Amino acid sequence: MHPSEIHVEQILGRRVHDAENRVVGRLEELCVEVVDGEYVVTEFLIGPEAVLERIGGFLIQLPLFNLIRVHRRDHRVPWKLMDFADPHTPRIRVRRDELPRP
Amino acid sequence: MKKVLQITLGIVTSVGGFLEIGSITTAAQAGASFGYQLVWAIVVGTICIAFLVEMAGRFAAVSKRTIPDAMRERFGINFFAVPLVVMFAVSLLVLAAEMGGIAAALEMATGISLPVWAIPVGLVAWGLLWRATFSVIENGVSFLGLVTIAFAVGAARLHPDYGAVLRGMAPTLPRSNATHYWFVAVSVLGASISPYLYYFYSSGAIEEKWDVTYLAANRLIAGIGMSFGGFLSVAVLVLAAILFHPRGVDVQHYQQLPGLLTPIFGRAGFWLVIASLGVACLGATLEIALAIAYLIAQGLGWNWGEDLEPRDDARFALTYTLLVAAAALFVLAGVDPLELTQISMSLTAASLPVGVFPFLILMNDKKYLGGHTNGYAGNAVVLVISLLAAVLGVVSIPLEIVGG
Amino acid sequence: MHLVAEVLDEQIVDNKGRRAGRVDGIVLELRDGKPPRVAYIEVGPITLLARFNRRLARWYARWDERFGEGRGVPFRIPWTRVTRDRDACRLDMDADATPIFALEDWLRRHIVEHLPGA
Repeated sequence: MHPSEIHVEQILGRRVHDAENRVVGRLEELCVEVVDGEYVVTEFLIGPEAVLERIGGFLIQLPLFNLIRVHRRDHRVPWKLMDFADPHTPRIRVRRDELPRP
Repeated sequence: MKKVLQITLGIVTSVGGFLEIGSITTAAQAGASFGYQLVWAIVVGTICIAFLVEMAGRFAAVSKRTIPDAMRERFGINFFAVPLVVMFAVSLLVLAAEMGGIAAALEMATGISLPVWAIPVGLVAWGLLWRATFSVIENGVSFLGLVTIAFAVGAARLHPDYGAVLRGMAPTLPRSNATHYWFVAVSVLGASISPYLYYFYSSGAIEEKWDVTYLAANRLIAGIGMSFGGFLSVAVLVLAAILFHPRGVDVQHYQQLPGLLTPIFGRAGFWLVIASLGVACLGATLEIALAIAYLIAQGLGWNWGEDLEPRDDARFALTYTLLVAAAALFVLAGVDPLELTQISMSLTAASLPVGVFPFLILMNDKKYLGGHTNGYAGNAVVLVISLLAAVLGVVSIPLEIVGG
Repeated sequence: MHLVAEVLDEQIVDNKGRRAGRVDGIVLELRDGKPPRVAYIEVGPITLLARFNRRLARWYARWDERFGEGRGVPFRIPWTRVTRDRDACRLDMDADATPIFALEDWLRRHIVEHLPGA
């Protein structure tokens, strides 16, 4: 039993877990393409989970600070691997190390 | 030719609109307590606001958005709520201080006590916002604000030691009373670098339909307008430094302010200070009320515009109405405008990064500005000064409170 | 197209060129074996408040019911009626035909018009 619709603004920023319940990150963006005349979500972007990393992610956009090179551990998850059975805890259907490399 | 006229008008309104109760009282307090030592604080603050105003104008002209528009879009409502709430709260206090400034001027002119003026002042301010168009407010009141040039004339008449004034532009450490020194420095910075000023400016640029052809005009208006305005603040400081400092007089009550010009112009000096205070604070009242209403309306996507009739933007119009009413309550309650000014200026400084940091991110975002993103200098100046103001604010405010 | 960066929180402009709120929410339709479809955008305080606190949103929704028929629920616009351009999301309908201006109209009729010089 899964919901037939989800709200983007509600799932934004939520922690995403993998098939073994480990944290992958937080949902940050949804990529949309036109397929057969319909706008569909093709990929979900998952960003860092840790608070410090997220604050750092904000500060790094400031001028002068953005000279610091930072490696962001983002994940691009194809729509097939996302599971929204519980909209409050989105999951990916595989283990996080099985995801395509960022 | 039209552009030249517009530039001149822009500069005049920037100068006329620069002084308000914050800059007048903090400059007077700085001069009275520390002579020329804090001129650097006015200079640093003025440089920062000049850069911020230029950035705000450039942002609006190129991206065709106001700052709150872009902040909501770029950062989302959950993040935007933070600067929205902080700036709303701090600006409301400043608004109350400015309305208190008008009331104080009227009290000194008529002898009728301050709280009585709360409602008349509120009604006049509201009436102007309700009926007048943007250009009438922006230009009309700012033109009247040119009366504040009296402070510069007065200061020149005293033949100050210009060398000493110039030396005051270099930051120095306090010789005594360090806590109070930094507290006054912070309130001077907060008075100069008012977020409502550059937020209002970006909305104004959209109201006046600026585009890329206005970028040079924008630089001139921001640079020259803010510089002359800062120069007027220094004039107030010089007056206090010469007239109050040697006698060890601190500025504690607004009734002392006429003393800045009466020794030079006699009775006329009294009326010049009253007029300056009243008009300058009226201009600031209108700007701040609009700036907060713009912030809310744009952040929530409402229809807005001072050139629209209130019937066409009911939520926007009622927002500034409620703001003026809320600020008037402070005056009605008899809150001392000078104390409220000190508190609100310091809070402004301490909370600067909340508004400035997201704005700096926007100013470096090519999606909004294309090839017109910030230069290295602008970024560095604004980042360093706003951080400095915040650090000083966060440290010195509690110390001053504890010190009594 | 990126939903969060380019659609969510964008200004909406109706077919008369008026500012008509912002994209406060986006609804995706989930389908078995097919990618999620962008179905609706949502506009209004109920959706906006729900992004902070569910209870606050429900409290506002109950107050909103008083404005008339079909109120008290988030307002949805089919994605097909929306076009994204550089500056805003363009709606191909008149916002007066929607509840978007309901509060605005109510305030105008009951307060603003009674004040002199509106």
